[in-house]
Amino acid sequence: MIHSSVPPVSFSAILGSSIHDVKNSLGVISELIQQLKQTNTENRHILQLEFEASRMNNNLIQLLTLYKIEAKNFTLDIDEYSVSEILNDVKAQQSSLFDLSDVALEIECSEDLLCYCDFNLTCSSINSILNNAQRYSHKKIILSAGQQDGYVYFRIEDDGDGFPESFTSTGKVDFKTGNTGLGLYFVSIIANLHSNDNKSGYISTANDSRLGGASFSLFLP
Amino acid sequence: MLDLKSKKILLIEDYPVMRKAIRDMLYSLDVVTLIEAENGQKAINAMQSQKFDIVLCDYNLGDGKNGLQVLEEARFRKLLPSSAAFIMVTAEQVQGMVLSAMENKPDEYLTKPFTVQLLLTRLERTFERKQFFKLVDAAIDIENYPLAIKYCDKLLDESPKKMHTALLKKRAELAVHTLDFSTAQHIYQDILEQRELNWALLGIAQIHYLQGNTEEAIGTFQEIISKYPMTLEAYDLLAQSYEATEQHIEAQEALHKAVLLSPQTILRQRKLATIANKTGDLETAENACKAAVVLGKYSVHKSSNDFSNLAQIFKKADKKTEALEILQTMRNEFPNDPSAELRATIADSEIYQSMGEAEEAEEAFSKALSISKQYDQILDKEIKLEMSKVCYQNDYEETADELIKQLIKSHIDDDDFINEINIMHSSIGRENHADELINATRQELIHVNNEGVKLYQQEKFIEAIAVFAKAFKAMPENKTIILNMTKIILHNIKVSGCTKGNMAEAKFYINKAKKLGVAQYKLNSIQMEYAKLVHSFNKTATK
Repeated sequence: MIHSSVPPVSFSAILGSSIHDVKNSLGVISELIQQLKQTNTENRHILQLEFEASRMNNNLIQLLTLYKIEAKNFTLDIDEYSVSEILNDVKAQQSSLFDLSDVALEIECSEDLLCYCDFNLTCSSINSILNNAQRYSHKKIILSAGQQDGYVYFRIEDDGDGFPESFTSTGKVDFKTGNTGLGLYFVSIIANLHSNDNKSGYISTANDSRLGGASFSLFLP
Repeated sequence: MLDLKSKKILLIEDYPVMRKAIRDMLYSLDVVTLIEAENGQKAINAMQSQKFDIVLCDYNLGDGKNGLQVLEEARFRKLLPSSAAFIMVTAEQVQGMVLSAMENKPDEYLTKPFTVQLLLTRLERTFERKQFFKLVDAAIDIENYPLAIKYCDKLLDESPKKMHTALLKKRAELAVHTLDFSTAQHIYQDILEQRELNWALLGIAQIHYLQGNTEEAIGTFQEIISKYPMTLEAYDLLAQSYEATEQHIEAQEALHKAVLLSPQTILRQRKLATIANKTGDLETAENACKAAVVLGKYSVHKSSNDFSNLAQIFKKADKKTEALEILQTMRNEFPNDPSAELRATIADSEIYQSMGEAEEAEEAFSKALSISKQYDQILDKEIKLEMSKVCYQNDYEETADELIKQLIKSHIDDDDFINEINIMHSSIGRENHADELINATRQELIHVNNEGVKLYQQEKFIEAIAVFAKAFKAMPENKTIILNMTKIILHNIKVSGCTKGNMAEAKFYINKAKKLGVAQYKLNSIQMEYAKLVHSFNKTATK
C-alpha cells in the first residue's frame, strides 16, 4: 500500500526536537570556548563569546521548558527553600557576566525568609530578568526579596532608563519590541504555574526603581 | 568558605576538553586531591579503592555506564559514604524526579555550562546540609534507626528555620521505616496544612498502603498523579497497591504510563515485564523485558533472570527460535554463574519439549540434573523451586521431593515463598501435595520454639541455646529460630558476662539474620542490645 500523505506531526514537536539539536551544537561550541579560554586568558572577546553562548543556551532551555509545559510533560517540583540560598545561587550563576561589566549587583534579603517554589525554575527566571537588567543598567542593580500579602517577592531594580512607557502602561509582553520578549514571557508563565489555594504567581513591571530605572518583581504565593 | 584542600574529589567526564576545563576550575578553588575517570567503569573502580568526599559526574558518558548508573551502583554497593557529595552534571535542566528513582537522587544537579562560583555555591550548600545531618545520617548508615531518631528529635528542638522542613521530612521517613505510622502521619499532615507538598502526600499514601488500607492508598496515589503527573514514584506505588489487591491489569497500566514517561529505569521495566506476563499481554511483556535486558548491560542490577524471563515470554508467544537464541546469549553473558546456567538449561529443556523434540529435551534435562546436584550449595531458592517442578514433570519424583523438603525446611516462615511452592504444585496438578510436609515442618518449628522458650523461662539459657542451635542446623535459613536464639544468647551474655566467644557468636547470628533479610524493625532492639554489650565489654577489657 502506498501512503500519499505525510503523517501529521505538530509544529511544536518539530520545534522541540530542533531545539535539542541546536542545543547539542551549542554544547560543542561552549566546550570549544572553554578550550580557547585556556590559551587566551586575557582576551575579553572570548569572555563575551562565552557569555553569549550561555545566553543562547538559557534561551533554549526556556524554550524547551515552555515546550514541555505545553506538551503537559511537566510538573513543578515544589518544596520549601531558603530565599537567601536562591539569591546566592543566582548571584553565583551571574558571576561571570558581572565580572565582564562594570555593573555592581547588590543583594538584600533576610536570612530567615523561606519560600515555596521550584528551585531551578525560580533561579532561571530571576537569572533571565537579571540578564536583561544588566544590559540596560549603568552602574548598579539591587536584587531583593521579601514578603507581601501572602506572597514572597523577588525584585530587581536597576539604574537604567526604565521600561518604555508603552510597555509599562499595557503591562503586556510584546514580542515585537525586541529581546526582552521571551524572557519575560517565560517568567510570567513560570510565575503563573506556582499556585497555592486560589492564588497564582505573577510578575509586575514599573519604573519605580529606588535607583531611578526599571523595577521588575516576581511574586510567588 | 568551604575548605576544599582536605576534600578528595573524583571527576567523571568522558570529553577531554570539558574534563580539563572542570579540572582547572577545581584547582582554582584550591583543590589538592583530584582523581579523574573518563568512563563509568573506571569511576566505579576508583570508588572501590578509595573513599571520596566529592564526586562530580557527567550524566552523559558515551558508551558504557551513564552517570545515573554510576550513582546507582555506588549507592547499591555502598561505595559512597553518606557524608560524600554526589553532583550530577547535565547538558540541560532536568527534572530530577523524572531522571531517577527516589533512592538514587544525586545531592545536586548542575547544568552545563556553569561558573566556578556556582560550583562552589552548590558545594557549600550541600556540605552545610551534610554537616547538619551528619549524626543522623551516620546512624542511618549503620541501620541504627532508634539512634537516628534520637538525633533527629534533638536537632528538631534547636534547628534553624531553613532546615526545619527538611528535618521533619527525614523524621517522618524514619518513623515510616520503624513502622511508627502515627508519628509519620502527624508530621505529613502538619506539613500539608501549611502547603500541599508532593512528598507529604506521597508519605500519607504510603502509610495507607503499609497499614493495609489499600483503597485509600490507591485513591491518594491517583490524586497525586492527576495533580503532579511527573511524580514517577506515585505510579510505582500505585502499581504496588493494585498488585496487593490482585488488580493486575490496573497495575500494568500504571507502570506502563511510568515507563513511557521515563524508560531508563531497569527495575521498573522488569516489574512491568513480570506483571504483563501475568496478565497475558505478551507484547508489553516482551518490550519491557527486552528493555530490561538492554538497560542491564551496564547496570549493577543486571540479572540472568531478565534473559530467562524473556525466553519464557518468547516461548509463550510461540517464538521458539528467539527463545533459544536469548538463552544462548544469556550463557555468554553469565559465563561463571551456575544459577544462570541451570536456568538456561531448564528453559532449553522446556522449549524443546514444546517443540516436540524429545531427544534434545531429555538431554537438556539430564544436564540440568547434574548442574543442580553439583552446585546445590550455591543455587538460589527460586531456581531450586523451578528445578523441582521440572523434576516432577519428568517423573523424577524422588529428586523433586528431596528438593521441596529442603526448601520448605529452610523457608518455612517465609510466607510468600511457601505460597510460591503451593502455586508451583497447583500449576502441575499436584494441589496440596506439599501441605503435609509444610504442616509437619510448621509443627516441628513450633515445638522447637516452645521447648527453647520454656527452657529460657526456666533460666536454663545454655540448654535453650542448645535446642535452637540444633534446630538451626536442620533449618539454617529459618528467621524465627535465628531471632529467638540471638535474643537468648544476648540475654545469657547479660546475665553471665561477656567473653570473646559468646560475643562472636552473637555477632555471627545477627549478621546471618541480616543476610537472610530479617526485617530491620525486628533487628533494631537486638542491635541496640548488642551495641550496649560491646560498649561494656570494651570497657572491662581496657580496665
